[in-house]
Amino acid sequence: MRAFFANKLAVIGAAVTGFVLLAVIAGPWVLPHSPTEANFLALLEPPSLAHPFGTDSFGRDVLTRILYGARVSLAVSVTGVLAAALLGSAAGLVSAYVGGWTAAVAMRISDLLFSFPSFVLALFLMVVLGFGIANIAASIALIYLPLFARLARNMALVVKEEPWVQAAQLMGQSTFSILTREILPNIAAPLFVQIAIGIAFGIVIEAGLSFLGLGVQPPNPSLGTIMADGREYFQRAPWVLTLSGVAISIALLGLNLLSDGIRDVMDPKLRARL
Amino acid sequence: MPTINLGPASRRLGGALLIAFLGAALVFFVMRAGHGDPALAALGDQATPEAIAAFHKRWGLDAPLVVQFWRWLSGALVGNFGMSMTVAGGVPIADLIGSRLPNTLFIGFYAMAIAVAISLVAGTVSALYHGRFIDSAATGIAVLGISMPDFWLSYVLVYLLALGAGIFPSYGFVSPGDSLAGALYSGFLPAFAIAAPMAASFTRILRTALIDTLYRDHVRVARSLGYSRAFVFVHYVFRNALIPYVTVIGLQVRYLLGGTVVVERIFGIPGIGALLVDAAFGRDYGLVQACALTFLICVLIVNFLVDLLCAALNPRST
Amino acid sequence: MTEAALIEVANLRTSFAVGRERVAAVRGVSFSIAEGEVFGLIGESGSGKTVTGLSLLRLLPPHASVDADAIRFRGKDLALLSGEEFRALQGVKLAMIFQDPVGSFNPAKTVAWHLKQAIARRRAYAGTGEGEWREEAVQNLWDVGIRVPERVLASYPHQLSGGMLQRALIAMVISLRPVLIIADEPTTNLDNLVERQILDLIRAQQRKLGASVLYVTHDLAVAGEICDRIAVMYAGEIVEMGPARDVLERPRHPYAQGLLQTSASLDRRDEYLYELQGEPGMRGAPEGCCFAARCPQVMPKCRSTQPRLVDVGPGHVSRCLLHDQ
Repeated sequence: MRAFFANKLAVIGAAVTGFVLLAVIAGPWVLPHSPTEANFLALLEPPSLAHPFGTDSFGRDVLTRILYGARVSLAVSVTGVLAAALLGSAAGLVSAYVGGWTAAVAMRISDLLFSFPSFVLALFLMVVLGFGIANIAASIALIYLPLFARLARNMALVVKEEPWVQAAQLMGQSTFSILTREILPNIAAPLFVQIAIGIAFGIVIEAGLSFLGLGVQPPNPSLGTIMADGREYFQRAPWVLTLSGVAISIALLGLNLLSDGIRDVMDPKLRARL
Repeated sequence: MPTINLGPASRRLGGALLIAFLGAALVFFVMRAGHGDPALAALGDQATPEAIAAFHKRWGLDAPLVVQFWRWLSGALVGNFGMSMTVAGGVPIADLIGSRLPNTLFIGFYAMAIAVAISLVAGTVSALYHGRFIDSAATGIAVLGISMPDFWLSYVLVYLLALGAGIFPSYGFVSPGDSLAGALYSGFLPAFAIAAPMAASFTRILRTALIDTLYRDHVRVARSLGYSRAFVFVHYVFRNALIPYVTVIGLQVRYLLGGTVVVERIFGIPGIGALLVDAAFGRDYGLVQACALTFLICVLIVNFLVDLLCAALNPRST
Repeated sequence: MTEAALIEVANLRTSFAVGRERVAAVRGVSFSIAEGEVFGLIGESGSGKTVTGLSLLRLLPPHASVDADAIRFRGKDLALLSGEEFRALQGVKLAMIFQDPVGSFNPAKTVAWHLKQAIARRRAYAGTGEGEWREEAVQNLWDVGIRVPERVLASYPHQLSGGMLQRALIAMVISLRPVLIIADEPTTNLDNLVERQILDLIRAQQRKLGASVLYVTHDLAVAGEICDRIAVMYAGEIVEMGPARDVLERPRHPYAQGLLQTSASLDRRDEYLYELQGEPGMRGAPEGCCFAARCPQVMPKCRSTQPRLVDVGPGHVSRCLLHDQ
């Protein structure tokens, strides 16, 4: 723990992520504007005191929309990544420990999914499943599932040779118990790092899909749809696109620094180097 | 250079082919299972049963699914993907893909070249001066690079360099077939937008790999023998850091190809990515399938080549 | 200091920056090695013996700082040399054989490449022409006892055993014809039979080249086999130094005596092995003798007075207040 706080970048990452989470959860209650109600009297206004991020082409306050949109993007990304982490890790663990035919097949399917470029796979799934929020989360889950499966499997393969696991086997502990109590805690940390990274990229994927019009549908706010709006009148009112992009970048920056920090703390080699 | 043992290489090739086949099957069956009837998409919800039946007959959709798959696959193997239904009605899909694939590949290679070039310099400098200011600065920029969505970065670049300073065009693309210089010029911003996050992660992996290797025993032995710093760096440090570096580059190819999708749309580049988006909107399922499959095959080919390269670099693989 | 001294070290001090502190690993070490002499540096882990060798050859990481009154090589002060000037001497005049042969080779290159580079380096330094290096490489491998030189040349380091690699490493160092070889526990990682062969090998090569060897080890028996003179180190200082026979058979410093008794006890296969009390690294009082905390013959003044090196025989010194009455 102490090492974590010694790493300046990690602390900044945690702080930024915390700030973003706070803004996203609490912000909409504080701000007076509505994210979807149009106000034709205040179209495309540049940033001001009343509208810190300006207004968009429907007169909606951009900051409010960004915060609502961030809620959606985060919810989608977190859901998808957590689902992927749970299912994928479980699959990887079982495959590494129990082995057998089903495991091999599952790994092949996972490899297959992994061979598609992520965004292409996401797009494909959106076409198949139809546009909409739940489907985006499902797509993100399917994209990350192979990553977690492979990661969990590789690490479990190493850990299962450790003496304490073999001792547990000899003592007659059930397979489930061994998996959850002996192996899982030892591989949890890198999985958490991947979850953080995954959430960051999940946001990007969702934003990308929505930006193209294949994700969250307007008028629902999502970081991607806001950017798509902003793109329309980019030259006249660049602040919409710019600021929503800045918002995404800040969130990603926080998550990336945080995950780097966790990783640096866990890897003693890098620490000793200083 | 050590000889590459052909055994594992042909095994990998077999594995890749298997995945390509499974991928084709996945693409085909999932497509059909998910969004059902292409007839409804093409003709609209109000279509009469007769019109639908006629559509089915015309496009061979009345045969059993497996037969349809077989027809599609055998056609695909000889390059016949059927015709585009809605995006470019009646045009053979293979032609569409054929005319656009070179553009996407060009942008892809361009982006990779930029990312590798930047990371070689930045990674080396950060590693050699690690712990000092320039290293922290490079790391900071790298994290920033990873944190910006590529489509947003595209707009920032356009705003600053195209609309603002007028150095690069903000839209449009000159195909490399027409003019290489034109392609390099018009393709720079899109390639850079895709390259930035990759450059960031390549730099970090190179830096880590170099620093790791710098403290290995064999480097110290080499210095003790009086070899020059440059010699030791190239042959002992850099050479051994190449393996993890190249591995990560291989892993990022998936991202690279995915990134072209949005960037092509933004900059109006006639490539496979933009085609895929058009097909998705147009519910042109045949085209969507073919594009997805094309991407898959590209990834498989590049992965295979990268695997070969890694095996050649690593004497332990024989 | 004799006139035939190859290398003279005066008051070498090396410390490392650890966090915000400085940890002293070598605290004022002085010795000299004559031409053609094998000089042993004995001590436990943490005594500073390896760091001494690394300090002489400027092979320490950046957070180490090395200081000395003088480090003279054939009369010239090495400390005055710039980085480039020193590098010119590395390998061809001053060389090191490291402890771990496996880690000492570049894993991406064959043994042939390693030998080729070493031979080319020597030739460039000596000013002789290029010529065919392969013959010389094969001959060098043969000299170190490798009977399948062609196969070894074509191999990568991970394909060879530890003993084979250590021989190849010695061959590589010999190719450079250095005049001072620092051997840092070259046989520790090898099994006994191979160890014996490597020791013989080192001795044979040393005589053939006429080189001097600084042999760093914790093993008294090995030191007795091969060394002409010996220095015993403890906690960064030399506590006893003299002709090998004298130091090993009639040690005067309590620590050296303890080492000898431990070793003899092992040899006799005593039921209860003799052991020195305490552990290394107990620094005791900074003002007093470094060994005071563990010394069986400790006196009250040992904790407050720093002992100097005093003569206890011809060419034999010991750092103990017992001798300084």
